[in-house]
Amino acid sequence: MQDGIYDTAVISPKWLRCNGQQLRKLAQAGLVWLEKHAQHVNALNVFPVPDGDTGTNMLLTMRSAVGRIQDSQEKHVGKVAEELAHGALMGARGNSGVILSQILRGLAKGFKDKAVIDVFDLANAFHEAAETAYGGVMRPVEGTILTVIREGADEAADAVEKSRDLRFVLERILERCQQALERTPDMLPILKQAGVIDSGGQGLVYIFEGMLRYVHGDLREDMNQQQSTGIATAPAQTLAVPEGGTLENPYDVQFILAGQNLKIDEVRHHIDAMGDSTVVVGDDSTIKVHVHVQDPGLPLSYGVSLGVVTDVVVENMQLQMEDIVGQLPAIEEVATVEPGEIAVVAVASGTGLAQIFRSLGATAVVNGGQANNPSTEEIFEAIQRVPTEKVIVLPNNKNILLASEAARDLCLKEVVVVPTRTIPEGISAMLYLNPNGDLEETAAAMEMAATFVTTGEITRATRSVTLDDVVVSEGEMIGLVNGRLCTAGPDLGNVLTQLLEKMEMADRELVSVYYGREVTPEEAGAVVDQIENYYPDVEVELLAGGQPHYYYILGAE
Amino acid sequence: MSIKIVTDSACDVPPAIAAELDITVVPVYINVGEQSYLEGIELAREEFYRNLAIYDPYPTTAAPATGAFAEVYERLTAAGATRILSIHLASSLSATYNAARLGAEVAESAPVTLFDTEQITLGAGLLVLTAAEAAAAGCSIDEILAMLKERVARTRVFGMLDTLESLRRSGRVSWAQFGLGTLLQIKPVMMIWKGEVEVVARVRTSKRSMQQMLQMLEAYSPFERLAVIHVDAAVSAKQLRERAEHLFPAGSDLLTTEITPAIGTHLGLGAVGFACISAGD
Repeated sequence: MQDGIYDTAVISPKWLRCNGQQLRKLAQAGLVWLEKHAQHVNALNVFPVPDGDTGTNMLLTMRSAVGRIQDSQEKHVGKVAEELAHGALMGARGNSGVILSQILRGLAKGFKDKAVIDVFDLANAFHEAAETAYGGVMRPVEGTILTVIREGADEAADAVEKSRDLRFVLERILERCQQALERTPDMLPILKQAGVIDSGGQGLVYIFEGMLRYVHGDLREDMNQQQSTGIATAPAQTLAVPEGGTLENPYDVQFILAGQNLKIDEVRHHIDAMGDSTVVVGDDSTIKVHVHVQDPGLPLSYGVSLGVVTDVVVENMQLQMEDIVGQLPAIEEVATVEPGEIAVVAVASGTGLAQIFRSLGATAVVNGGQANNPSTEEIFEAIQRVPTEKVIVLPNNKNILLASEAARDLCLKEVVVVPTRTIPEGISAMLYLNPNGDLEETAAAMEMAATFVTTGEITRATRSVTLDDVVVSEGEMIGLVNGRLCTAGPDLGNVLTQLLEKMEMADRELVSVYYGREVTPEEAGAVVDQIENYYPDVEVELLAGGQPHYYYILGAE
Repeated sequence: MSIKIVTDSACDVPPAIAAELDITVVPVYINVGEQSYLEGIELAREEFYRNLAIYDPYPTTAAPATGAFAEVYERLTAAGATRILSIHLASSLSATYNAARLGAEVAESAPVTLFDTEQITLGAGLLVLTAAEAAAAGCSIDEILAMLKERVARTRVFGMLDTLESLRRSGRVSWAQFGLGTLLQIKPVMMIWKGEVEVVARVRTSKRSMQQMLQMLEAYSPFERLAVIHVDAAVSAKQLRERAEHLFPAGSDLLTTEITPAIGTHLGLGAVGFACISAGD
């Protein structure tokens, strides 16, 4: 294969120069390795809430970056880096994704106008990457991905004094990044408390590790396979809506089968008979299976009969589809806004919540929220689409803040991000929207209004942890007040009671209860009854939010 | 030289003051079902508000008939008025001004001058009082008109609504325009100024809407005239008056008035607010 030429160059004993094609391969290798470990990164979540999506966010960002150069023949390293940076910028989601995109942007800055790079260019680019990463956040915090990239850059500067070999420098960078990652819990107390290392830093280390593995001759096959099966395993976003809205084969099943003398054609034939969308690839010892079936037990049992089954992923596409269909189109436009007026672009997931934002005058609602952070590009496009030059963005989630700010920076429009952290804060802010007002003044009033409300959230713990003296077991109900974990337990009633107390409900006049998609109106009604029983002076308002993951979101004033 | 002041009942000049200052009040109509009542004469405010929640279909309001104005103008002329100053609700918000204008055309011989207050309820009423007092003090019609014109821009009405239901049922408000939505409990604070109704604050609780309204009111102080207005909400009105006591001009009586059903039907029970004229330079 043509790529072989470059492969040889990369793994030659002395690697002095890196060109565009080599950089492309490195980026692909970083992506492949991150892909393999994204779930692990997700699991490194401090809070046991279902927003453990750092891995997913970084992966989607990296995919968007590599997607720009996947089939590129460009040899100019500066141009390839530029494409990577652009792809990452547009696909960036979540705070960690945005920081990753900043790192790629910094690297591109360092590689600018270079046809090939040497170790000095690399060190310089790492320096730029660290600088750009720090510049991407308002208040840089140590013990995060920022520390990891900064120490990596320091190491690069040091390593070029000792060798001109790019491989040597990369090895040193990776080693130092790993060490910095190990120390993150010492720098950030919350990590120590939760007993984890920083997830964003880990994601970055996986990317560098993948690159180095490639340099050492690994990952070749994964990279080829990624290209061939990448689409088949794409999320349900690509599903067409079937007649009647019901999928014939609702379960998406994926697993890896390891065994001896596996007959791939036979396996493919068997699996294909069970359902549709079959992808069976591999060799006689390892086979990757992907199929849509009615009964996920069938392919799994079949796999177990042949060997060892690992990496099992089963997803209910019917539910995913209903999710997506229920929320289509992702960006909905409504309230008319005239040129010169202020438009609001709000991020919310759940049809009910989207409707509420629209009813209060939001011009566009970008679908997204917990565990489903919209990309910079989606927010950017929503801002671009509203027919006015003045736009206020409400992220309504602390993990969507940076993507919103990145979208703002891409725009030529006058954009202000009002940093709302929760849905009730966003709704509270909406009430102070004055479409004809001064942009800065209106944004300031909206930011102030967000502080009027106290947010309570009830969801299910995704893992066991002890945090802020709250002991949580996986699967239990947990309650958060203004994003902080405050109570946990197996029983909704008790968790609610505790949560209401922490929200100082006795001093409140009104509480709005937005119930999620997994909750029936009857169940929600019972919650309202409970609140009214305990706090007869508080007015309770019940609204169908339709949000995923969070059974209840409460806003109290 | 005798200048007579005419107004309509939706300007909310209290009857006792109207009698004292010799102001002629032309009643507007309130339609309840198929019945039409002359406001303040055939239908008492208290009774109307007590039943507002159960009226079905929802009551509507109508401007006085052209003939009613013509009759008043002719009667006053016959009684010796040399000039008639007819002061009314905002022409942008009500048909009353136009009915008065047509009435003046019918009453050819009557020397009528019309004035558009660009206000509603006591916002218009305070201008009527200004005119009546000036007329009693012997000012000329031109002087009075100049006084009124100059005060229109300084006159405001604030109101906080307790419920959006009435506004919704009365069908007078475009929801998209006000961004009030229909899903959440919202307590808007409204301001009427120069013939336009504007939502100046949208809040979730009465406590905060009262705070907001007082804060906004304060921004327009000191006042030449200030009054509390309410829709069947004497208790809230008293509370509001106490909290705004320092804003009332020295020596003025603390005027509190129940809002005419012609406007109260739209605002809904429990609405409270202020009518004010800021002090001039």
